[in-house]
Amino acid sequence: MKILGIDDSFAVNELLDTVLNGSGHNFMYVDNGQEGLKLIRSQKFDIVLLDLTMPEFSGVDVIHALKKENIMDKQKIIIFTALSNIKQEIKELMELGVNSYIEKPIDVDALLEKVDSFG
Amino acid sequence: MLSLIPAVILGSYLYFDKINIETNNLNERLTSISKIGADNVASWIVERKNNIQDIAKNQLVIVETMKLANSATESEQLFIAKYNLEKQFTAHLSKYDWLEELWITDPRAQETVYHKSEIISQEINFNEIHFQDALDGKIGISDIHPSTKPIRNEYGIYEIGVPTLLISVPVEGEAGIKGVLTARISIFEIESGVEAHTDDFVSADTYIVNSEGYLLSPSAFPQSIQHLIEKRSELELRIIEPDSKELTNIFRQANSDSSTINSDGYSNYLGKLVVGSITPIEGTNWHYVVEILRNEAYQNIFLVQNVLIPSSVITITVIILMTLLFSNNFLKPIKKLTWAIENIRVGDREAEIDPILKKSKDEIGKLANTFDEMRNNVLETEKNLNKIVKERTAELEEANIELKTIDKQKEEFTSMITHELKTPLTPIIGWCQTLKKPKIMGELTDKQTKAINNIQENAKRLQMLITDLLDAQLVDLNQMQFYYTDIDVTEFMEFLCQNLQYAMEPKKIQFINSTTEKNMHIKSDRNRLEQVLNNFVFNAIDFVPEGNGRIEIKAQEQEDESVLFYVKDNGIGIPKEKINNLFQKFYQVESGLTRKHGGSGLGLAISQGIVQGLGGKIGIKSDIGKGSFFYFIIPKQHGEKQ
Repeated sequence: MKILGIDDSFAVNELLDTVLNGSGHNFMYVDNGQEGLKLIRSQKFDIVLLDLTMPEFSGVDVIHALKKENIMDKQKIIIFTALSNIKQEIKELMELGVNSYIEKPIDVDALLEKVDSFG
Repeated sequence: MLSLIPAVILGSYLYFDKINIETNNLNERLTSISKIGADNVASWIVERKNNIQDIAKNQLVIVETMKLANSATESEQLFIAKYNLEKQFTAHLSKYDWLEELWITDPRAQETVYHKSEIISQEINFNEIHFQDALDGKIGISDIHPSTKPIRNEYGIYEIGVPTLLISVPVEGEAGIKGVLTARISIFEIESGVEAHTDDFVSADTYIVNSEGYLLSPSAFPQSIQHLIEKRSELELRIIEPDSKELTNIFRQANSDSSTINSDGYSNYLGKLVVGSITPIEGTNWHYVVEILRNEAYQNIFLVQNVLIPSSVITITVIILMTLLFSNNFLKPIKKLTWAIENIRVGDREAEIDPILKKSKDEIGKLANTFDEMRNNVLETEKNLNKIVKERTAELEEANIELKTIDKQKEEFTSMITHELKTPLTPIIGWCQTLKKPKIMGELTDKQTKAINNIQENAKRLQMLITDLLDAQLVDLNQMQFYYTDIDVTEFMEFLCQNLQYAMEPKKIQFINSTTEKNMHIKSDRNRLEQVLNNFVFNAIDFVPEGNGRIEIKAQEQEDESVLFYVKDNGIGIPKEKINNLFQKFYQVESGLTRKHGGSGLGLAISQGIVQGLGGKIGIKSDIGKGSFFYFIIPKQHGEKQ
């Protein structure tokens, strides 16, 4: 599967790169929302892994932009967050078209399972 | 002023009541004294009568001798008889020292045959009542007889004219009365033989009067009769006549009533105003009198009359005058001042005090000026206070805003910290997981696997700790969010049971889900319920024994649209006194170095916060050695803000 990772954490990106590419997926990543949005506009991904908390242009901004541009349904979106008390916000994001969410720290096995379930 | 009226009424009532009581009391006491006195005199006389009767019994021989004397001329025989009689009478007279004279009279001859006395005291009047009574067979008693021969007075000196009493008794023979025996008794003997009771009256006098009011007890007024004694000629009677019609009338009335009478004030023999009680003496025409000075009798009443009433009248008058004075000179200015104070009290701080009041040089004037000064001070202080309050309020508002900002900052800081703490955990845990995937990372040696497992395990522990800290803070701030979904409780409990089964293996614990009800649906936060139940179960795991531990979980619908969840174990139990502390943060049943059981110590505090946030309540029941019962009850429908 073609997967895009948008996360400002280099360590996370490195890990996901190793795990997902090592598991037979086609994973690429960017470290900010603006670039991520550009890639989504220009390419077709099966899944976008999106971190909510990023400086300047956050994951939430990305989602609102996708919704605005009506390209939410182009791909499955799984959001990451290290914030645990934002259930109301997550619920709203799900209503906007987000498919799933994973709480940080990311459980690699759970992520692989979830990715496979969208295959 | 009006309040004085009841006082006057009460006072008058008390006064008249007091007089009544005093008068009744006085009369009772006086009556008692005069009755006792009269009784004593009467019984004294009765006793003497008996004595004289005894003497008369043995006098028949004298009567016979008298016959002899009457029939024959004086002879030797008569002389002997006279001599013998004289001896006999002398014996009687020495036996009865109260006897002054004793003689026998022949009733038929109507002449005195014999008498025992050196001097014949007087001509015997055969017509006297006492003599006639004796002839009729009764004991006769005379009225007063002034003695014509000297007899002992109260000082033991022989004196003429002393009042005496004659008692005559018949001398009876076989054929009737043969003669009359007459005895003379001095009034002093009667007086000295009768003890006078005077109760506690200081000025009391007791004495005997005859039916005409003639004083028969000279010793009662020794000072008054002194001049009589000096003035009188030798044979003048020592009997004092009542010197006023008033006195005569009183004794006459007592005589005609033949019972005790009380007189509320008369002039006595000395001309003094007295109160008296007069009782007739039985068997005589005499009266026993007790009298006391009117001053003593009514001293209590006089106290009221002469002291209390005048002083009351003066007091009341003074009060009335003072009141009038007060209302003009004191009350009116005070009213003005009060009005000014009242104005200030209701808020009119600017209200001026009457300038006339302030000019006044008396105490009121001082008060008015002082008050005015105080009012000015208050006004100034108030202004200052208002200023200070405004300043402080502004400062407080500022501080409040600052506090709110700090609060917000603290919240943001915590979120940031947890976020920043969690972020590095992703690569740590993630890399551990990844390293154990041989397809990606290649085979690891056993040592490497062991090291990685160790890192992973500790990282997980760190993760849980961070989560707990965050939750605890949310509970503290009451900011925990809940995500309500429809939960099939039966399925949820089964899932939970299977999910936790792995944790039972190390201690080989028997883990049972006893939920029996099907189709039990609630609307709640599944993850949070799971968190609480997990917390309960992990607690239980820590405390059940290895090998035969048993943990039971169950969900049970309650009657009131709520569901009970519980976790029951057969662990070591919790001491009762520690149960209440369990919900405190960082509390461990065992503390310090004795800690055997791990955990952040936040689990139950968070659980309580969650259950309360879900609208339920949490609790623990435990018996030492028997195990614990952790439970919570939540409503089936809660939250989901409408």
